[in-house]
Amino acid sequence: MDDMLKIEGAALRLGGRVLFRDFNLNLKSGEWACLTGESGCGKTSLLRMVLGFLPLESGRVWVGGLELSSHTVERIRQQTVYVPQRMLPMAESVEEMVRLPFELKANRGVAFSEESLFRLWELLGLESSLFRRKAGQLSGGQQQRIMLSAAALLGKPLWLADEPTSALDEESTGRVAALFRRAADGGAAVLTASHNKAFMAACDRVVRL
Amino acid sequence: MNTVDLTYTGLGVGMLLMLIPFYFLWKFRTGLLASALVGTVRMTIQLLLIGFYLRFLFQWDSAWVNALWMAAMAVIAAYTAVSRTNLRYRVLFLPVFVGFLSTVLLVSLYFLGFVVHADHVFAARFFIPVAGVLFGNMLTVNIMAVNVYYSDLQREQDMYYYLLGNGATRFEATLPFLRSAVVKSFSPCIANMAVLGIVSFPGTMIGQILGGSLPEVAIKYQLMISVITVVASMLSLVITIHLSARRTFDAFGRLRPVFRKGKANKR
Repeated sequence: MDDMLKIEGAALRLGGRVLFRDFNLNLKSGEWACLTGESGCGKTSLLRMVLGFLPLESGRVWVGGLELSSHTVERIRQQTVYVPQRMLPMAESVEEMVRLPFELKANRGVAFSEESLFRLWELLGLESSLFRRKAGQLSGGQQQRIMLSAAALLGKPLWLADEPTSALDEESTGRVAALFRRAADGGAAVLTASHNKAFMAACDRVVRL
Repeated sequence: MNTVDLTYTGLGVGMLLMLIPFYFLWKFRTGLLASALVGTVRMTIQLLLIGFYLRFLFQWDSAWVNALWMAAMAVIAAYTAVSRTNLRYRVLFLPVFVGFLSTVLLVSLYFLGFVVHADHVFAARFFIPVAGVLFGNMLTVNIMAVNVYYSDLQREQDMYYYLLGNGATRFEATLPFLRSAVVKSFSPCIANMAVLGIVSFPGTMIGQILGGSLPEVAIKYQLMISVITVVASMLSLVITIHLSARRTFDAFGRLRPVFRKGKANKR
């Protein structure tokens, strides 16, 4: 099977400091890899680098066979699901927040369904009544799972999630891990960053930075 | 009706009223007294000088001189707008300048040509006051909008990158920020329009009535001035944001540093 994500000899410098160099990774469709390492080692930056948010100092990145460049970056991002660790949602309501990615031109082919969303929420331990709440009333953990569920519904071939369990308890961590497992079993390539041991135990491969 | 001129003694008597706010600024220990005094003196000198200057400009009445005056106003307005936002001059000055200049040209020519049917749209007595009122309003709205837009983008970069990472184009990813900037900067403007003539009597209308125009004429002009200021503010904002995008984002959509070094955003 071809690599969904391929990183070859990547080096990244941030604020004058080299975070990593000569980093290689091959991630196939249906595979879930988890990046780990000490705080500040560059896990978040690596995810951002894959999406072109941070410039590579050297090396190359391919997503779905496309090499990352200013010409391909938009097409690459159309194939990805990205969930940052923290985010201030610029939306009044949870509904608005969830629907936001579905309003993008690239995702218009994906129909949004409340039914599918609530099924995912059940898996993630979220009550459907949250849908009508104001976005500002959510806890960090609820927000993380809601953003994740919205991204999951997009059904893209590459998932990138940064510390998706950082605000979650043990039970919710298990539920989120089950969602990633399901995505990988469904054929998506999944790359997460985490230092939660229980979460890492559920993935196919741990990559230390 | 004739214009009732103000004597310089009358002006002096009127200026005495400023003693009231000055007293309370001092009494409440606001620390604003010095700035208020300087501001009042500056305003008085500037207006007297501009009055003197406009008199010559009106007598001269050359389209080229008027155009030059407008370009100079655009430079000053753009410089003022950027300096009040802590944004980098190198990044924002040219987009703001082009946004102001093109909007004033477009809107004032439309207004003077198709609405007022002025014989010469560049005639000083038409062109200069209309350009002046547009610059003043665009400046207020642009300062607020550009500041909100870039401050929010910088503070909430995760949201911007979240949208990009889920397939948004750069325009789509900046849309929530643009929306927020427009809402915050245009809300006062829209609220003012809604109460115009009920709880507020705008300067243009009062000026015309005091200057001897019939109330119906003053109202028609006021209506049009309100319309063109809103149109110009929106147009200049859209042009500024569109042109500044080339300097504030790279080819990957990454946000470049937009604030001056050592200056946190003001919001």
